[in-house]
Amino acid sequence: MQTTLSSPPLPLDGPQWERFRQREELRKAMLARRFDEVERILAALEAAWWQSAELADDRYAYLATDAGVFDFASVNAALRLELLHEWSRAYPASYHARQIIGHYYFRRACDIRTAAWASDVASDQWLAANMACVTAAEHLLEAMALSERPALAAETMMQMSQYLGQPKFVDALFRGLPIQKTMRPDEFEPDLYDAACAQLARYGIKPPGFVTATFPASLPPLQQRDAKNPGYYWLRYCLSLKPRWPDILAAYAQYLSPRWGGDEGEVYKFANGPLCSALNEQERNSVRWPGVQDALTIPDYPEPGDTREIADRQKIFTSWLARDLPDRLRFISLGKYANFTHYSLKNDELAHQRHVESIRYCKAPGTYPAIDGPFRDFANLMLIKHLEDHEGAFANVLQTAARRFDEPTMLTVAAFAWQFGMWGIKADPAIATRLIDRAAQLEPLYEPDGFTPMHACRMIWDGGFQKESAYLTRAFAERRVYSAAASMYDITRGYRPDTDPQLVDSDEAGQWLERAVEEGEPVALYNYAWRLENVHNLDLSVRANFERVHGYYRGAMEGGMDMSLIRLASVERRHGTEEEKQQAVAYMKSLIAHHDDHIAGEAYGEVVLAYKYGDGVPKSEFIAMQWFDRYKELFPDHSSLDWMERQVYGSTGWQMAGRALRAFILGKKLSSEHLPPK
Amino acid sequence: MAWLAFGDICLVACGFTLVVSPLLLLLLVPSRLLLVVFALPTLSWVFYGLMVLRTYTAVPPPPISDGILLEPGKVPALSDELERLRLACQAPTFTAVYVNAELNASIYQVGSRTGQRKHVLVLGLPLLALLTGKQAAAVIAHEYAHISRLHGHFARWAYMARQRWAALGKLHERNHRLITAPLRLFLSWYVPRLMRETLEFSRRCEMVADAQAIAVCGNDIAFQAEVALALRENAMTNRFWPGIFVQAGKNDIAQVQPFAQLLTEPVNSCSRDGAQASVWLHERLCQKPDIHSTHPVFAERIAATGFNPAEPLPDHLPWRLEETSAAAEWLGKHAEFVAAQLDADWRKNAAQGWRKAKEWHAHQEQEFLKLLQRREQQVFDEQDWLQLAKLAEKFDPAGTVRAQAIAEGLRHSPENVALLQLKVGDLEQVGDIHRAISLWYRIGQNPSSSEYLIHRRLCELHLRAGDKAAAERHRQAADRLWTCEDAERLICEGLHPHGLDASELTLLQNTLKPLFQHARAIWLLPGYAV
Repeated sequence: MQTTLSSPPLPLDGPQWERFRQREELRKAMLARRFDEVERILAALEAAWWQSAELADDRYAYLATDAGVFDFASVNAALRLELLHEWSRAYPASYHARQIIGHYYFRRACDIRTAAWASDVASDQWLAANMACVTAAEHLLEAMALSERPALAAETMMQMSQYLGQPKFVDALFRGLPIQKTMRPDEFEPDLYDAACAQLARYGIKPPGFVTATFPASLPPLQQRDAKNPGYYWLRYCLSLKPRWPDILAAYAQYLSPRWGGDEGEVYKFANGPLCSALNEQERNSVRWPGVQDALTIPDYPEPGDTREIADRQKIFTSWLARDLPDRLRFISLGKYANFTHYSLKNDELAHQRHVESIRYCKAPGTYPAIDGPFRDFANLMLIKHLEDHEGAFANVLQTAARRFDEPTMLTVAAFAWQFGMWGIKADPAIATRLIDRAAQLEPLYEPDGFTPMHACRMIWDGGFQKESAYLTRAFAERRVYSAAASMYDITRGYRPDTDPQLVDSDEAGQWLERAVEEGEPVALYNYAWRLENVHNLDLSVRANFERVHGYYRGAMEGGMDMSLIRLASVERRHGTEEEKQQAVAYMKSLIAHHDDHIAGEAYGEVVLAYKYGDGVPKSEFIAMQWFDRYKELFPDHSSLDWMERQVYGSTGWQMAGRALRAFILGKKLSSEHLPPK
Repeated sequence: MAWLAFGDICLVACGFTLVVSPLLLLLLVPSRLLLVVFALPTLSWVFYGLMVLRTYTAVPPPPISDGILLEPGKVPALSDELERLRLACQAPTFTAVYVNAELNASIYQVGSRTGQRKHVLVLGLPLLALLTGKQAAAVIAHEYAHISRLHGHFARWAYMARQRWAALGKLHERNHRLITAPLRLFLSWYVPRLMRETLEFSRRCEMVADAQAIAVCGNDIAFQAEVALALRENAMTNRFWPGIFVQAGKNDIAQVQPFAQLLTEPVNSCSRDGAQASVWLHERLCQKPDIHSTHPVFAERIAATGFNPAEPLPDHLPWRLEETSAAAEWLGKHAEFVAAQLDADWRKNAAQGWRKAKEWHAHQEQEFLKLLQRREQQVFDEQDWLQLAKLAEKFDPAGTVRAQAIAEGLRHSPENVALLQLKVGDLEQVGDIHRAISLWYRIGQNPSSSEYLIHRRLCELHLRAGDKAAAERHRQAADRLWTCEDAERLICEGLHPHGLDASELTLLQNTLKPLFQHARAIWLLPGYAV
């Protein structure tokens, strides 16, 4: 059980890093079970938060969270829950203990749901997230009963209502109806319930039991329409506690944007509405941002040459940036503008200038809200286009990342800088190693997006820094994270274009392939199985060998490698039992309508071969030819076409004529069900 | 008749020629070699000829009424009235009388094995319930004329001819072999002319039937019947049936009895008053002849009763029942039984529509509640206020939300036409005619408003206020807009009419003109009225 706290490798001196210093303090106190100290720190932060309406530093909101009290990378789920519950028991009247537990469960619900589009979230994920929300809500309601001004607890309830939905038992409390034990197993299909419990178990969470929460007396009564929109109830309650609270208004406004089901212009109308009347113009623009952000980035940035779309987008950017924006919002907006400039306008220099300008507004300890966006674009300009780091802007970003110590892709790029002394940063391999270690430590918590640490390593490679990229990739591969072993295989095999011969080593490649296979990397599993079959010529008629190769292909298939479907079926067709052969051919027939033309073509090819050699179906050259002709008609450019033609018809004209006649006259005539579909 | 006969003769001749073509070849072609060459193709000609002849001999199934058969013994008054009219029209007897759900009356004829034709009369219960006995008698006299003048016979011949040629058209859709060329050419020449002639014939039959009704019942009654039917049609389409489906939000379909309701002449089965009735008729009188319709246009039918369509309408219009309805008079207690059966059938057929109406109601209610909540949180623009006002009419009929929304919307955008129209609607509803008139004049000053609509509404209001001269001026202005000659030019400028005539196109063009300043294209989609 890991309990060592990981501290950033760079000093946190200076007023701009105050919150990180406090965070370290809080985390240490929590880990050491000095709950009185935790209480004291949070109470002081809360008092400061309430005191000033103009307080720009949101340290209280930042630290009174699960990530504020725990370093997730070094404190495992079981320990976190143990500490939280121990704190709660030790301080039965502690508002913060319950508020943070509630927040913790809510964030786990978000982790279970993931950031995917709603349509891509599975039923068991929804159910598990719902269950976690029930537990979260219980604790938050308890917290509200323990404070006169439970602002953060109410804010979390608002977020939960908007993002995942308010739990039904809270709806019942709203209406004054009795509540019962919630989420009973018999309410759901057994498989679904079990799968949801498995999702919860990954975070050490149990399904909710008997709910004992009551509606806190201090909460205002509901209005008629609140049942349909509980998030609005919680927003009103929060604003009754703290009337000028721009962040919560901006958070609420996000759910009014079209991507969350709002109507066009609703965010703007909300920002101009009565709830935002006490805000100044900068704060109001923060509230407007969710609506503008979608207009700027959805759909993707226009393609170069799409002059009308580019002009429209340019107009939106220009008018938005002319507004009175707070620094952080200007930093984010300019970053997107720079990204647009690079992608759509294809102007590297101007894009770089805009990135540099954006960083001027990024005050420490702030950084990019997401990695796959302006940061990726900035990194691309620096790594691939090799632009000068004006004003040390990019170095600043990496310095902050090193101190924040929480984002693996940024830490990867930072490690590159510190290892090889890039962008004015003095080379310090020790720091680089710590950054790599930290990035590796963060892997279990990482939800992959478009710009992963491996993408960063590849970007470094594409920028001409092959050896440096190989160094970093090897470092991650040795730590068995981010499927780096598979990337090392590609490097040492020489698959990447223009690979430096010094990096190519087939023995090492074999080792990396085996390592990647051990890690269950789908591409590696596929490659390994393919090599066993076609390079090592493993005798698959031996059942043990068959099972081995079959297992690897199956692993690749389960990891999402579509081509594995074909290889799996091919192996079964050739070397499986009679039943396996039949199933393989039947399965290939079902794949001929696959949306991926290559897969569909391969499936056709397998059926051709099945009829030619009588694998799983009656042998018939005539039927094989029918299938081939159809395959050729549908996929005239398929990569396997020529080879398949030689198998079926031979390589010369005489062979073709002879085989065709033989098949027609002597070939076995099967029923029409064997013919290819029209 | 000549066209029909000509077509039939050509068809039979062509089919026969094709069938006997092998024989003809044998007789006409001397060379054995040529005979051998043509032997195989002629086989296909025979089959082709048989198919052509088959379309001639195929008899479409006889029409079957979807109505309820009336037993004469149960409706003696109707039987007596039918007999009276039959004698007046010197027509054969109707073999059967059905009652269905249409606001219409019709006849059809079927042959029988003994060679005797059977004549079937179908009366719509809405027609019987919403017209007086005298008015309905004029309608029935019209139908008697069809069977007394053999219109039905010719109508059936024309109907069968159209079916036949449609079947031939389908046969040739994909069959473009050389042998089919002559018949295809004939089809392309003959069929449009056939359609034109049969439609023209049908229209002449209708005018003869109208004349018969006038002769039997008199000009006044015939006029009343035409007007009453036109007004009821409008009311049923725009008020009664929408009003039925509006109930879907609250009631189960089992509780709804539209046909039983019609027997009591509900308020929404007629116009609001005589003024509205007049304006409906003004619009109807502007309709141009439809070359695809078998019926003359309304203005022509009215003119046949001796009324000049260009003159102002009479003061007294039959927009509601002033005597007992035909249903009460002729069907008596049996009307309720018939209505109950029609209601049951209607419920079966309308179930899906009811479900959709219910879903739409729920959706609108959600929108309304969402707008109410948004109103607390957000600054509304005029579109939001407009939407709120429209929905409030349905979901807060007794409340103040609608009035507030209109007031706020107009405060935001004082010249918004849609909001002003809602306000003027409220003024009309409470009877404040003079303010409503002023407001319409104000709306008329807005270039994005529909001049045509405004003139019609002002005509109605002036009639209601008793200012006939002003009403007539607005009527004339609206009529001129409707039949505007400039519209012809628009079609020449490349605007695709999509089935609209010139005046409709102008109206649409003028209405949408302000939008074209901001849009390159405008899509008009059908939707539910709020």
